[in-house]
Amino acid sequence: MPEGGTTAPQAILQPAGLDELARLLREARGGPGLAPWGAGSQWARWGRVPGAALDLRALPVEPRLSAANLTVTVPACWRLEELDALLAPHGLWYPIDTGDGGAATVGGHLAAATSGIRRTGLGPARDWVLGMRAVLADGREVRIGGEMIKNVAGYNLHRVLVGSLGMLAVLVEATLRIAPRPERHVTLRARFETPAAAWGALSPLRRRASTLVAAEWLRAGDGVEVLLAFEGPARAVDHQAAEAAREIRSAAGLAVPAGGGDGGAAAARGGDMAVYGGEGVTVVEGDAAAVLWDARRERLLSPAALRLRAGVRPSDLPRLWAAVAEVFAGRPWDGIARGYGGVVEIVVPAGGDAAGGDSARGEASRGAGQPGEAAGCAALVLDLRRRAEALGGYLQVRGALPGTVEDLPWTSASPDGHLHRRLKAVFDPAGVLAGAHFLLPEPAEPAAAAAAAAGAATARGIAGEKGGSAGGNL
Amino acid sequence: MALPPDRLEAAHRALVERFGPDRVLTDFRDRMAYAYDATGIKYPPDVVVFPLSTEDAADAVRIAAHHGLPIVARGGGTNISGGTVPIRGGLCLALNRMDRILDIDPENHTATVQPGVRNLALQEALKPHGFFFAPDPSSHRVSTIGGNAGENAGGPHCLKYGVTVNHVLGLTLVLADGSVVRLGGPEQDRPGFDLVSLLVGSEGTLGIITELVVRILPLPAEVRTLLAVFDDLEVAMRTVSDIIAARVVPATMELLDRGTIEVVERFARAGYPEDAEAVLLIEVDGPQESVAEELDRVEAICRRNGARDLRIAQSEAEREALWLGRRAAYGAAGRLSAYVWTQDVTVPRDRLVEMLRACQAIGRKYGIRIISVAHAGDGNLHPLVAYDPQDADQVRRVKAADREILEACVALGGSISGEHGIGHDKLPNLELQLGPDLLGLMWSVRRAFDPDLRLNPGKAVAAPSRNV
Ligand SMILES: Cc1cc2nc3c(=O)[nH]c(=O)nc-3n(C[C@H](O)[C@H](O)[C@H](O)COP(=O)(O)OP(=O)(O)OC[C@H]3O[C@@H](n4cnc5c(N)ncnc54)[C@H](O)[C@@H]3O)c2cc1C
Ligand SMILES: Cc1cc2nc3c(=O)[nH]c(=O)nc-3n(C[C@H](O)[C@H](O)[C@H](O)COP(=O)(O)OP(=O)(O)OC[C@H]3O[C@@H](n4cnc5c(N)ncnc54)[C@H](O)[C@@H]3O)c2cc1C
Repeated sequence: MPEGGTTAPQAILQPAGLDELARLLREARGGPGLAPWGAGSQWARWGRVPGAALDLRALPVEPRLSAANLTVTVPACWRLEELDALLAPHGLWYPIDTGDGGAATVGGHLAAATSGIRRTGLGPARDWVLGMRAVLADGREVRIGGEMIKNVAGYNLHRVLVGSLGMLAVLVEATLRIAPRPERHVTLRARFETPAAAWGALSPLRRRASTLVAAEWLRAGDGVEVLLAFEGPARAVDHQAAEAAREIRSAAGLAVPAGGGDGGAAAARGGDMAVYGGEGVTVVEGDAAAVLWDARRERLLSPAALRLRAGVRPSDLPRLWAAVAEVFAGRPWDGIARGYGGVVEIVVPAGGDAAGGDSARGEASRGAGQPGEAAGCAALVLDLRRRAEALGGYLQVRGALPGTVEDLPWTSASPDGHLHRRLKAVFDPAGVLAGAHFLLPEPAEPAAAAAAAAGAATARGIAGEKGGSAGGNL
Repeated sequence: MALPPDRLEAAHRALVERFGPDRVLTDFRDRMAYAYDATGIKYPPDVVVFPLSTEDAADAVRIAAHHGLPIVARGGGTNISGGTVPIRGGLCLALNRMDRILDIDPENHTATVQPGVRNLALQEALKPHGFFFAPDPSSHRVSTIGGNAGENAGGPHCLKYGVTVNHVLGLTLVLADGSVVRLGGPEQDRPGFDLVSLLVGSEGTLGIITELVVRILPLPAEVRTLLAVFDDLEVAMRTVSDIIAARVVPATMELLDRGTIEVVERFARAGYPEDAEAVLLIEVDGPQESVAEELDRVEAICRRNGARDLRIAQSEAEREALWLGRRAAYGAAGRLSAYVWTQDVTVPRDRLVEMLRACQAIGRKYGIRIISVAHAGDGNLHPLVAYDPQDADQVRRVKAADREILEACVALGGSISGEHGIGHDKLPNLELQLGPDLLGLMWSVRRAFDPDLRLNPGKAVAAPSRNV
């Protein structure tokens, strides 16, 4: 169950057909705005609830699997676990793991552009989307793209709808590329004394390791624990994982615990595992690997007072990480990063310990047990934002309890902000689809007339929105 | 629509003042060199300017905008859709001198380039670092990275690696009013809508790309090439599906049909058996340990499906020999008549045989010869139509056949262009695929970026036929 159980929109509209959906959209003109609603998991994390939500589960749409073409067309309201249940009997899968165990809907996953852990090897979610059926804010239905793999007729609007945050159109169906389930999976775990040591050791690996699909960093005191996933043909996976383990064992800055066991905090929680390897590197597969990845997910999803996402060019990840450590020094925080992607998710816990903290150093005792204790974070967030931007990157608030960041914009204003507004104005001139507008960058400079009009419409669209009432669970 | 001479005169003066006479072409003969692309259509621009930097490009756009000139971005001019032909005259922004590779960053797997860098030049610069740029249009010697992005180009290897849009991370863009913005970059998941994807494939209608950050990939340690010969087209295509179902993603799976094989053998002598119904050229690449395994699987599937001959290249020379026929296909088709029209359609992979059969039937119906090559793994078909543009009756039949090919492809759930773009040439057929509402939406996007419709008018996206 997503953690948003405590929050619900004031009104939930559930159209039974596309005609009704079109009518609801037309009737919403001039009102407070609607937000498409999938499983609500992002909303719960954001700690924001739209005044009126559009729930698409009653729409009649038939899934269509084409195993020979390796494509599947599914309703946007389907949960990813339903999609998996359709594909698994055919030995196929949609390999984008959105990080929530399949509870998210296809529409919510695409609208939020969550790419999951395999982004390193498989690219962003939008590379897996071939087509969409969507209803525009004025009620018209469009089909963009289709089941063909290559298509350059007109603009790439289906890719733009991935990450459109419920602000541009209501997605009702998506055509996705799918793939055969990999023959073999191996996970490698190692702990490094510093993030710089981790980068130094891991950076050369991916040049040769074509089957390295995921590389996640988890905070472990002053250092980081890394999880690497290798997937693909058995022979290649075994060979490349073994090579990688060998290289990592001889890397500088590898934390080798006494007794040659494993050094990560997750092991304690993981219980018995089929572990082989040693000398600071653990190699696991099957259920034992799943345990490690589930533990990572739990850390990402644990109750938070504040969630931040920062991104820099990948080689600057150690510097960004150091900046986070400096800014949050003395406070509990957890960091989960895409090792080759330069993106770190920062979780400031709502209560108790931060999973990646080193409790031996007494950090946890100062945990933000109540929302109020995380108050005053605005200055920290601004400081970190400045540091991320100085590295050419960005920092975005991805969830905050009331009072934590005050009225700090969740996303920095950006010089291309006026283009985002113009696009919004094209798709939704009347500001019917409020979506997650707080994640869209504002223009950095005074916007042109058209953009300003769109901005005003969007502002109207959010008037009816309730503040977060997630009760410590963002 | 000729521009008033006094306005042109004033624009010339302003451009020469800003760029100097060496970087502005006004002479008719000079301008004619920028009047064409690979389609053969010709319209000269009124003036050609060679920017060297983003600031240059921005100034040129501002001057053109001030004087009301249309603006056409041009890279290598190799597109096959009329995309760079200045059908309304105006300013040709020739970006081929913006050809500097600004940065190669092996640690971050990125390169930063100016738009006029030729695809091959980038590949050559990356090679010593052990990297390559995945999009590899067959025009790579001449076509530019800016043009590849303009068309969202593909190539024989995009089955495994994807097309250009999958490899562009960031852009510097000059907008229609001369302002400059940066979109995306090497940092992942930047907040905001994905404007980079919108720009890639926009054929110079939404902005002028003056810098690109692209993803680069490590060169595969090993490449193995195999030619499989089939007596049955359906079986060849089933082999393509079987290979993919067997968890092998070859870098390339190219198909030549019987007509193409005959023509190739007549003019290029690649050693393909002339009585075969189809050949598949398959390449697997990657680290040694996976390539050997993949090659074994491909070979086994081809044999199981009754390939009558299998040739596996054992050396670079043998690999070149196997590719010879595929590479020679366009040139050989060109020898059949005065001109060869390269069509470009895609269908879902499992409908490719139907599409091939449809082309053959349409050819018979109109009494014209249509032969086909396909990026079979992607469902991307290039029917080649050889004809004589001087023969009015032939031209009429070719046009009718062409429209029927596009209708057949749309009926099979396909796209009227897989990689060559819409340009000027396919614009009248775009609504066939998109319908008026989607076309109308795209048209509005275009107007939002370029309210005066100054950027590459008459290309890529048009107003829908009925008011929506
Ligand atoms: C507790 C928890 C934590 C998670 N953390 C992460 C994480 O850190 N990183 C990550 O990548 N994934 C994460 N996920 C997964 C993520 O929530 C989902 O991948 C997905 O983005 C949300 O799906 P949803 O159906 O819950 O969407 P919702 O939360 O309902 O909606 C998400 C957004 O999509 C829009 N939307 C929903 N449906 C449509 C539609 N049909 N058409 C148009 N717009 C629509 C909404 O308006 C909203 O803007 C997490 C999931 C959970 C449960
Ligand atoms: C022999 C031959 C083989 C080919 N093979 C392939 C193939 O395998 N795959 C494939 O996809 N295509 C192929 N093509 C088509 C063509 O080469 C590609 O589309 C190529 O990407 C065009 O690059 P260019 O630099 O020549 O661009 P141009 O032809 O100069 O321009 C193409 C389009 O992009 C726009 N443009 C150019 N530069 C910019 C810029 N900096 N900013 C904004 N817009 C810009 C132009 O206005 C135009 O609309 C082939 C063409 C030929 C002649």
